[in-house]
Amino acid sequence: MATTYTVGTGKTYPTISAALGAIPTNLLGTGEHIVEVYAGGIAHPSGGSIYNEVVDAKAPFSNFNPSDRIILRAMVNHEGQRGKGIIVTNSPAPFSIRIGPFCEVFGFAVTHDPAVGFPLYGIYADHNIGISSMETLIHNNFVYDLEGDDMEAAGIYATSAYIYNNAIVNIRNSVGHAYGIQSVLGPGVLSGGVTVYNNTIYRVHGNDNAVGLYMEYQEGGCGSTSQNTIIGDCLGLSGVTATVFMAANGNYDNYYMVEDSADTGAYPGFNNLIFQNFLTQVKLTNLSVGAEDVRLLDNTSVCYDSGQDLSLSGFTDDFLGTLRPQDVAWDRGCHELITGPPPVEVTLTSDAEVVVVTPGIVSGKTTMLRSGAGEYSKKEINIPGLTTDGVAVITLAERDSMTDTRGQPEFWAKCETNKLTITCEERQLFQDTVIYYMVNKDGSEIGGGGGGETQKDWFYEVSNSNATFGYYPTRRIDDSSPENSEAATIFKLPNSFTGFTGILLGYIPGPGIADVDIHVCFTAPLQSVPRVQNSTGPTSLGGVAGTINGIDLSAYTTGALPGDLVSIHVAYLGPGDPTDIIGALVVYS
Amino acid sequence: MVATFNWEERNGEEPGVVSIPTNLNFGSADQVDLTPSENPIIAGKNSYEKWLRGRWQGIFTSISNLKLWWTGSFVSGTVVKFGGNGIVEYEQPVDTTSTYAVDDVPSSAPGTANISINGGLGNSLLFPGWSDYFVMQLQVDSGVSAGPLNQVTYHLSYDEV
Repeated sequence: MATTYTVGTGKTYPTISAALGAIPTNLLGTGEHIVEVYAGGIAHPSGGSIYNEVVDAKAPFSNFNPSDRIILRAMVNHEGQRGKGIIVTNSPAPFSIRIGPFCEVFGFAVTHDPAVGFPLYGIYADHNIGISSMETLIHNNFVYDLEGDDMEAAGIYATSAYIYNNAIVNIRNSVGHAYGIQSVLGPGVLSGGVTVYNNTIYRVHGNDNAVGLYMEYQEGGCGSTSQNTIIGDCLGLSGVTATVFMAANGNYDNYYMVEDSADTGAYPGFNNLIFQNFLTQVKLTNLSVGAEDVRLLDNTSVCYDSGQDLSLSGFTDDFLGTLRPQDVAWDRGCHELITGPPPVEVTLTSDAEVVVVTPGIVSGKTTMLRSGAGEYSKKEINIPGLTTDGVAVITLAERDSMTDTRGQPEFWAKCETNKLTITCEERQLFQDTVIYYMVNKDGSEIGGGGGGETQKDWFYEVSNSNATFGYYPTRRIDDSSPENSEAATIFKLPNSFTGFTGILLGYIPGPGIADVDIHVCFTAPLQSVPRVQNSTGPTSLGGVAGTINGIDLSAYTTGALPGDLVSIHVAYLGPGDPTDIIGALVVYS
Repeated sequence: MVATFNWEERNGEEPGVVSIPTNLNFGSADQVDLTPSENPIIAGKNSYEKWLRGRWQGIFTSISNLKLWWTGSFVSGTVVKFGGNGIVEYEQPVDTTSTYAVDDVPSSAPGTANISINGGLGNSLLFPGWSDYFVMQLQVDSGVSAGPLNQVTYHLSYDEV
């Protein structure tokens, strides 16, 4: 016979205590009373349900026996993580959950709220005088972050119980002793002891003793044993040296891992893992204080597939409900690692290259190939380090390469990443054509000062309305806009500069044979005052109005040095119609 | 049967062009399989982002637990940033400092997944399809000397059932 009591939001009882209050206090002949706890209580930010109450399934009940008992069962898995599952926190009682003999507590997350009080015990399995039973079950629980303030604090305290698949982490006592699991023979207990299988106990710190697994041994009496249990990081500040150590596999470099208080002989446990310093082999998922995650990280853990098969003892799962074994054999500890096939791994190699940009001019020439009808001739010039912030000017080198019968010549130059792209309509090229170009990678203006254009706004169109001259401007004075009637080219001579081959300015005088002012300046970059080497004007250029004329400026370039900024500035002064400056070709070696 | 895996890289203006890369070369162009010497990264600037996904085809039960890491390292003064959680929609790669690739790429296999599927690191792919995007960017300090960087290898592992 069994009676079920449901607890949680939308269930019969809002609290666990309320459900326990509905159970007859005299259990004799009443059968099993199963308290199933669902989501409810106070919502934890991580998704769990907090039941902040004392869960006492021992008092005021009487007449516990194998048929008449209380079972506490959490119906939401804690996933081995803080803040999840059914969380029982404590009021200022000495325990969070207490059960009587033959009872069972399964699947709870047990911790405490420091603002409320300090439990001495997370789960307390009380005994009755005269009882000798191993039928009390404590399993699949996650007991964490308990802080004791009295002589003793324990994650699980039991006299006669079967304790398996529990995770017990971060048990502290700043005053007295701290235990992960504590088994004490109480008065009148004839025999019994605890069976501790597949638990993981990590970080037990006490002011005095700190014992991961404490078992009071009564020679010829209780048959306590432990198998497949992991115990690590147990530190007592002024503790008592344990006297007898478990005959187990492990590293005994910490004296407070396992203690047998009777000092009567080797402890009957085996295949446990007791460690302090070889954390890398154990490979629990997270060992950080307050964030411990005792699940096995991966199948390289020494706990993986190294446990004993304990299925005959009555359980075949882990604390998350995973069937044991996965893969070849049981794992040690509360967690059975699900591995499946090894991960598939794929790779890609990766290269990169860095370029350091030196501000300044890159110049050169290239040949635009005459393309077919209706096509564009395009040339990409590799200039490492050039970006879209760069500026460029281009000009033609040969007049005969242009046709004067098919309309305006139009070239486009565009600064792109690591390259300069020059494009020309097919109709503009009479033959393969040499193009000179100058690029300033760091974005300083090469040309500027007039024309109402900015050469950073590439596409920069290099064009003019008279295609017979053959040299095309870096800037063009617009003969219809007097306010635009000046132009300039500014650039920096490279360190390799040795001399000019030529600077040629092309112009079309207006009908009035306009005067223009031409300046060719060299400026050392570190000098605050420009160093003017040569200057002319205002002057009348002369020439025939409406036709293209040219003036060689190379005579003004004497004295230019590597690193100088070169400025060619042309300003219209009138009278008459504005002069149309159509080309400034600068070539240097 | 086992799943067939391909890397996929997407480039260009949205919706972009999808390619199967043969390398993960970083550079100053938004381009698959670029040649580093032709697309060097200016010291003090960033590479273009790489927008990548994993694609699984064929017959499988589930694909999950995607982990990306690298072995080897570029020269001092460079760092590869990475973002792989919840990036479900493509955006045109940029060479400004990425707002997606903000974490360092792990130098060994991480303990848990760092590339999401359907918006979650814990999700699985149950049918042929893609992971979410993972975005990477090489960032170069201004003091880095010119020249090729060391070759590195990116690893992607996944659990296939």
